Amino acid sequence: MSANLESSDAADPNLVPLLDVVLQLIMFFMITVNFVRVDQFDDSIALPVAQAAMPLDNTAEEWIFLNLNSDGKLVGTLSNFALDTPEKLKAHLMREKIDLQRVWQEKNPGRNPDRDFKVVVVLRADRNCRYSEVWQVLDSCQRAGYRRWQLRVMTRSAA
Amino acid sequence: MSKRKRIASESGGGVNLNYIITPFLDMSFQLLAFFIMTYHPSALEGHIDGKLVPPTETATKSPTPVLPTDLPPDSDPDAAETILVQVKSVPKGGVEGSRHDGEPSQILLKQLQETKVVTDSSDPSLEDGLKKLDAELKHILNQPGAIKSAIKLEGDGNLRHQYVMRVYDVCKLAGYKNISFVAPKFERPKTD
Repeated sequence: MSANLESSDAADPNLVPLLDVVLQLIMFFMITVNFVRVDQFDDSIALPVAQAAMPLDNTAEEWIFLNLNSDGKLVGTLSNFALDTPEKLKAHLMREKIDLQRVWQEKNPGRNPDRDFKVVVVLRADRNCRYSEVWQVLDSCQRAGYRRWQLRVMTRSAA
Repeated sequence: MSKRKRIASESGGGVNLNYIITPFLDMSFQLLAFFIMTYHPSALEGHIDGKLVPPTETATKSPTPVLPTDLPPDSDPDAAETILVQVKSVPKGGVEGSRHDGEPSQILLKQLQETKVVTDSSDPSLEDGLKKLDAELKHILNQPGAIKSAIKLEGDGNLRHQYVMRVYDVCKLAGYKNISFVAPKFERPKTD
């Protein structure tokens, strides 16, 4: 007896296991997905490596991301600010803080902003920029009234 | 006979799922493609926490004259517990031994009464210098009755950020919990 090769049922591939695998992959990516703004994950910034760094945390209410490239220039939303004009950068950071605080206060009317409002400056500085440039940015943040900051690093080399 | 009834009868009374799965699979692949394209392995990123102390108030003139003998002694209150790790760098465009522009040329340990050069550009590599720094810091920490627990890390203005982080790493892994960064000695730019 010969096999019936013309039968359409016999030629159909079984797609159910393929669909299972695809759905599992989708679940993995959905769980690990992390929607970030461009300034939070700027590929042009090569972060230095520090094994002693802590994993990222999300305990702050608000974040301000500053990206410093290898030439010591701010990139992203603050690219039009130069480090040799710290007063302009300070004024911009102050305005940004006031705006964030106002929005926060509208959302949390009963809370004390001086005590409860946490805003963190996140500095993503390129590994090849100079220490003085990192300090100039921090100095502007300090004079703008920020009290908490984070330095972003890689916990291990990407290579 | 309608198509639906024909499918059901050909597969022995059940519903043939192959006809339903195909568009579902298409959509799944599109979703998968979207998530793969937007995936960032940001878990590799870590952070170093810091606090910015408010700028110190400037000295004001006292309304009444104060005798110099009445003034408190001018000393750093943290000096007894703190080690200053100073990292000097090769100046811009310069070369010192095998070290180039922005690389550490010398690492010094400053304590209350002692300043020690841990490594300089005569060492064959930076790794050797960092090993020496690690050994020195551990030695200070393990001395009987040691009270040094904090480190102030001061880099030259021209030092590249990656080397500041390398030295920070060595200090942290040597067992020091409290490490603070000190402003480099540079001219503060004029306010605009």
